[in-house]
Amino acid sequence: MSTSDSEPAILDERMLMETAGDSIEEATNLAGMFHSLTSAAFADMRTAVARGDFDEVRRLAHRTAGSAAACGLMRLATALRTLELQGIGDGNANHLDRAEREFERASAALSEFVSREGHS
Amino acid sequence: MNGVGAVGRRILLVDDDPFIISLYVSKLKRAGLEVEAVANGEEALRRLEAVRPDMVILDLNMPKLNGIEVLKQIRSTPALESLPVLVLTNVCSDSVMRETWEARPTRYLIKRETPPNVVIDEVLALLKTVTPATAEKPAAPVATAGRPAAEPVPETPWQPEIMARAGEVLDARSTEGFQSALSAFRTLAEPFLKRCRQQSAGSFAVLFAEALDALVAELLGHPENATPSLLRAFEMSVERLHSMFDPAPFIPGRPLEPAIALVVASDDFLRDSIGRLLERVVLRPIRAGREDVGLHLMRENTFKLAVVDAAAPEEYLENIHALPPAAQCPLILITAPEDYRPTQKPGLERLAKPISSTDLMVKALLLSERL
Repeated sequence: MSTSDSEPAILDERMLMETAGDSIEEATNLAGMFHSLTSAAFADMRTAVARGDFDEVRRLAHRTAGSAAACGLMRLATALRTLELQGIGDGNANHLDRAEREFERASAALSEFVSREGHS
Repeated sequence: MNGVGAVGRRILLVDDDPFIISLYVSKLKRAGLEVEAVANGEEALRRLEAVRPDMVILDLNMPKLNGIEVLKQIRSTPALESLPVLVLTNVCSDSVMRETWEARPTRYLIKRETPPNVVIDEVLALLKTVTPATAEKPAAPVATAGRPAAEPVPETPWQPEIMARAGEVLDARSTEGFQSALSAFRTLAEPFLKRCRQQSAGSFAVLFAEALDALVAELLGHPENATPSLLRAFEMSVERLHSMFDPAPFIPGRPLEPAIALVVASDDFLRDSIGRLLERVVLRPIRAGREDVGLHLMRENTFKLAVVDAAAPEEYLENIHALPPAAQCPLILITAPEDYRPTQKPGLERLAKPISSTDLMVKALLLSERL
């Protein structure tokens, strides 16, 4: 049995396919849409930080965490949840930076999955 | 599930996440539904009158006006009071769940825990069974605290023979002896159960009488189904029946206050079925499909009851017992029939597969007792 203390997967492929109704075409569409919308959300979070609107950062983090979980991107979802609950933090514990790094990993995992499954 | 009976019905989808909107608009339309999506609570209230939806799918955490406020306004508007509202959110903190349930949603699903196809099935099922014109109002929360005043003392005196017949049921060695003792038990208990049925709808007394009726009917009609798990439910019922007379006659006849329960089961159908049965005993189920999420929810929230179907039930039980005491709640642990054994621990009951609805409802009602 897995527990919440263990490191979640970058991409839970089963969950992504479940969301996509077991259609690789749908999964590809979802991956593309997720990447595009989440890139915009991170840009909005940076803008919100610049104007000191930390409530907006939390709201966007909450929203994006839900999308990430629906796509099976559990580590990104966890990082966004931390950002939502603890705020951006600072220095080595900058939760916004960490979430963005997880987003890069998540994007790479989605691309790899789509490429692999799309050709199989 | 197909969309027969739901085709062409209108859904108002309220969510501030464009990804979720895009995902669900596509799936709902594919299921034959008409969908209008809005991104905040204010817009939702504005559109309700124009769209006149058959159902609302509502996020909670939104800008301008949050989902709880939208739900409260819907329920306080006579024309919309019975409109089905399915809350679909990632917010699952104890306080928010309670506040949301007090606002009377029709369903409460956790987004990250509920695959979209399950959400769509839920929407279609609700549309087929509930319409705004005839929607059954959810039980209203009752603001009373503590033990309510006793209802009129039952005129029927407690009969020690009831316990004797119940003992014979549990000790029966033959089908004939079992059925004979059970029939006698039912006859002796009936006057009191009749008094129970006369109490307010949704009260413990009514639910208890209905559950015991169903349990006895199942045991009489199908004595081959008298598994140790089902007999344990009968034993619990008899103990509770006796306690209504001892130390003083007392019928809990006021409507139960809805309480939140957790269902942990990876099987979508089982999770949904358990949830529906819990709703029948005025519990509001939060469903978790993953065991680790179930533990996480139990650690962070206070549930009146948890029903768990785990891959390794005893190991999962150890994990629950490792939680802080405050996080532990009454528990029904679903087990394989060969692993079933009676439990001696208060607040813990086992329930053997295949699940009997009466077994589950009796144990859920008694373990989550709210007086």
